[in-house]
Amino acid sequence: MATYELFSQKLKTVNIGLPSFGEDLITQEVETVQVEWQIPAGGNTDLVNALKVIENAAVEEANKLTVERVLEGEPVLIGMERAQDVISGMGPRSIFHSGPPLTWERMCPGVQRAALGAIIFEGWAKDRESALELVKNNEVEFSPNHSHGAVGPMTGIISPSMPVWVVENRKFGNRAYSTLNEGRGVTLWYGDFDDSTIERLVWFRDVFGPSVKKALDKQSGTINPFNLVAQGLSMGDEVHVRCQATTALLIKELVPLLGDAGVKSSDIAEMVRFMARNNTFSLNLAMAASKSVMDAAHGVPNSTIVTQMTRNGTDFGLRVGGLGDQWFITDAPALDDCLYYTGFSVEDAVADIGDSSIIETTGFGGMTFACAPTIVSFVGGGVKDAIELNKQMASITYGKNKNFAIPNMDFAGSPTGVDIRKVVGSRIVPIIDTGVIHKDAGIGQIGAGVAHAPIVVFEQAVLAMAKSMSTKQ
Amino acid sequence: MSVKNLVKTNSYQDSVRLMRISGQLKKIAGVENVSVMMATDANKRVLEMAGLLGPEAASAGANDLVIAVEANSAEVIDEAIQAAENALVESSSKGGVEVQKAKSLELALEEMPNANMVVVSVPGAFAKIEVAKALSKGLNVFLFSDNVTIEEEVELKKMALDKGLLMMGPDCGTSIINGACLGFANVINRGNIGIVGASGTGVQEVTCQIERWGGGCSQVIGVGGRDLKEKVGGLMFLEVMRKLDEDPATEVIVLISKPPAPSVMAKVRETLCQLKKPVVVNLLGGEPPTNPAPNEHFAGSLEEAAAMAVALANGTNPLAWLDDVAKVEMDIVMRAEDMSYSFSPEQKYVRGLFSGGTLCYEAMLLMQKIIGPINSNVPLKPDQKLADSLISVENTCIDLGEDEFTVGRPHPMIDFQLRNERILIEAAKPETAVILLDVVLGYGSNADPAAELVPVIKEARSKAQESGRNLQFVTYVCGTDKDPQGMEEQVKKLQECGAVVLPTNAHAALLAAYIVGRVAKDALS
Repeated sequence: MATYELFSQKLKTVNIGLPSFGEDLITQEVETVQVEWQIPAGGNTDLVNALKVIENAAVEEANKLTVERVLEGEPVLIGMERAQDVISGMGPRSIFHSGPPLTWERMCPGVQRAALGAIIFEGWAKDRESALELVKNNEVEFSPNHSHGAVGPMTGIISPSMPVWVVENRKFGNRAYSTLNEGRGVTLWYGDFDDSTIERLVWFRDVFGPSVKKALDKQSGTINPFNLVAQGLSMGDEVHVRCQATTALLIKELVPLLGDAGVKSSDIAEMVRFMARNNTFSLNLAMAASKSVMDAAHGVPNSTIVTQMTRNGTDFGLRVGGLGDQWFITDAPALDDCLYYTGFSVEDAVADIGDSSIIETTGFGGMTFACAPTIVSFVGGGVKDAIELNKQMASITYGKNKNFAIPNMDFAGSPTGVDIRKVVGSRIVPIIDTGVIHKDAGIGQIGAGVAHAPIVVFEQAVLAMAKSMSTKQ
Repeated sequence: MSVKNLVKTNSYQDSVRLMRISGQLKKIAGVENVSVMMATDANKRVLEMAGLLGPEAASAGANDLVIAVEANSAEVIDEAIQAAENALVESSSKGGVEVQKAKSLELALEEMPNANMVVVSVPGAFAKIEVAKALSKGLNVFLFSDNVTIEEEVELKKMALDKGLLMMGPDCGTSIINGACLGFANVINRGNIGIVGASGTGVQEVTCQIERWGGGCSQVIGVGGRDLKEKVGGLMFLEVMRKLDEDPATEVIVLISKPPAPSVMAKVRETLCQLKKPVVVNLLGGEPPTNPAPNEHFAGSLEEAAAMAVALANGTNPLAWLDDVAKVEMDIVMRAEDMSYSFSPEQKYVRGLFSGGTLCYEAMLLMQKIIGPINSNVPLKPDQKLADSLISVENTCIDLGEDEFTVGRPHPMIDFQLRNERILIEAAKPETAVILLDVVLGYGSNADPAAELVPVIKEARSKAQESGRNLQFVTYVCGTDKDPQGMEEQVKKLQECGAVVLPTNAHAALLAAYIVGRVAKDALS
């Protein structure tokens, strides 16, 4: 039992409440920060009472463990396989989508179009009409990616014969999956398709996928996606809407493996050309890696750390570490803070969409916005704005990930482990970097920027956690 | 008369500050009624009852600030609202202190990652959330807020103990950590005496007396008035005793509290016996132990605790000062005798009006031995409880810092209005001979208490004079020369208006008691 460390330290105080107490300390030359305190949760009595219940040592311990699991996670790329061969629960007529569970009727038009595109790609129907017929006759089984260890950006569509990245979290042994990123243009992930889309998917299935599989089968586990993310963050990516550097790094890693595996040089050339033209190519791999880490961190009893945020243009869903399989769901928010291409506005846009918010859930993307000076116009224009924003994000997370350092913030670790208590208390919500797509067919991306996770799901989760903890007592 | 509401959304301000602003605004000519408050549900009811609730305020929320004015013209209303806005943006700081600000504890920690102490004085209903956050971040806590439940207190203190942190409070008024005053505290020399206290002004008195006796303190740690109650079980008090025993800078430990629950007292003594260092114990009104431990030194008053601690700290005989006690008390008796001749026959009683709860308590303990029962709002015995705290009966001491007086207004150590009004009431009563006052200096307290009191003392005395009575003010200034208010100057101002100023709370109480005791004896004979 040592004496208090405090006695031998220089006193440094934070003053919450009466400003005169803080001023007295400053007069005594004690370094002091004054908190301009606000009543938590906007003064809502139910939420304040719930917060009081769950501000306790048990939750703190659970959160510590959850974030430790996040930080200990060690995702490695072990292969590329056909979805139906590796994703559990994927039947011969399964189509998976982003966000929380959804019926066909409630899907936004983009997700519906992408699903029809996948049906045609799979050869279950020749055209849109017959594909639609199939859906109407309940011959297609829809399910959310997240329930199957998978993730996909934007519409997030995965169908059985698509090749998927297979990432294993070496520390915990679980696996996660994501598709190949289709890039710009008319694509399923942007909620649209035409012949070129199907052609590309076929090429993925017949050439790209098998080639990468061959390369990775030979040298499985040599690519560590989070190493690429960490390097990308120091090279101007925040590794969500900007993945240029990370994509270049991934190409650098993949090409020798393709060569070693004896993939035809003309195929390699075509693959490299495709990847080099697609600035978000590495996104899906980073997502699969994140999913493998957050799934392993999920399930610590009493944890108030968010292990999943996801949306599909219809709903926004939240999953919390200590609340099992319960989804907290509300409407996907409109993207009114994003920047739009000339001639477009939020009226034209699909609401917030995609599983890619697994990136922010894990602790990069919006959480490391200050890494990406070229896109700070999304958050106010200056690197300073991005730094302020990242400090706000740090104020709602449990800890920091030293591996994901933010150069512009003296290499501070990235904010990691969104705590629903802090979100509800401060009313600061996580930001999610995102692209924006048009509602209608044939247009595709119309903007980009940041989305704000809707506070109401965090409030639901806080009430649920408080209820679960008070029944246990 | 018309009423206007102005709502400023998301602008939380502390209620004490808003009350002060409301008070200033009431002085504007033509203003009938005015209130500046946060639009919590409770406050909205207050506004409604005052006829100040307009539709704007009615629909505002807990983080919205409302300026509500009732006045005889639109111009006056606008003037009042403008004055309120000016007052709100004015820095509350006295000397233009530069303050670094943040929106939340977490954001403050982004600015100051190596902070090690959080001072919390938010409304008690929300305090637990902030304290738990601070403790889980590994920060020590000074919790000034009251209205924290005892269950929350136990939970938070257990959290702190698990992490080896200090959790001072709730309702903790005074600590001095590494020489820095937290809350209400006096500026004293650093030294080798460590104090743990479950009583705010008791701790202030002991530190000031230590300073007067030439000693100094290593650490002064308040744990909140409930720590030694059965339910809390001395969780933090006992821990701090042990930590001070290990602290190389501490050579003498002083314990200050009202008498603890018996079960907790047993724990305190058990812990005390295990300590290596000498321990001075002042449990106000507690009996001396029948079989004291070798390192245990019983002190009968706060002053005595200080004197013994300083002697022990200097390696001299802690009982030596007792030789002086008899002489000092004799001096006081003589002084009382001199003063007692100046009263008219019906002037028989002392009226003590205290801002410090423990100072009031100690004064009553000492006075009752000389003049018998003291009536009070915080009586030593239940049958001495005043039926109405606003009406003194015979010898009376009032603690104006009790909740019944502080709801809706700042503590009497800051705001003198209530006590000043009461002084005039007591002074007007023919039976009052002595008015006994404490004046607490130091950080947290009023910036110039003498300036608040002097005009009132003068008025009281001259009114009594007009009725042919001599009214005696006996005061004690709890402070040091190093306090921001300056002890010497404060004492001088009080003396100039005819008040007697004693060097300790005990002396002041004794003088007051001997005066009225003597007067009573004269009346009998």
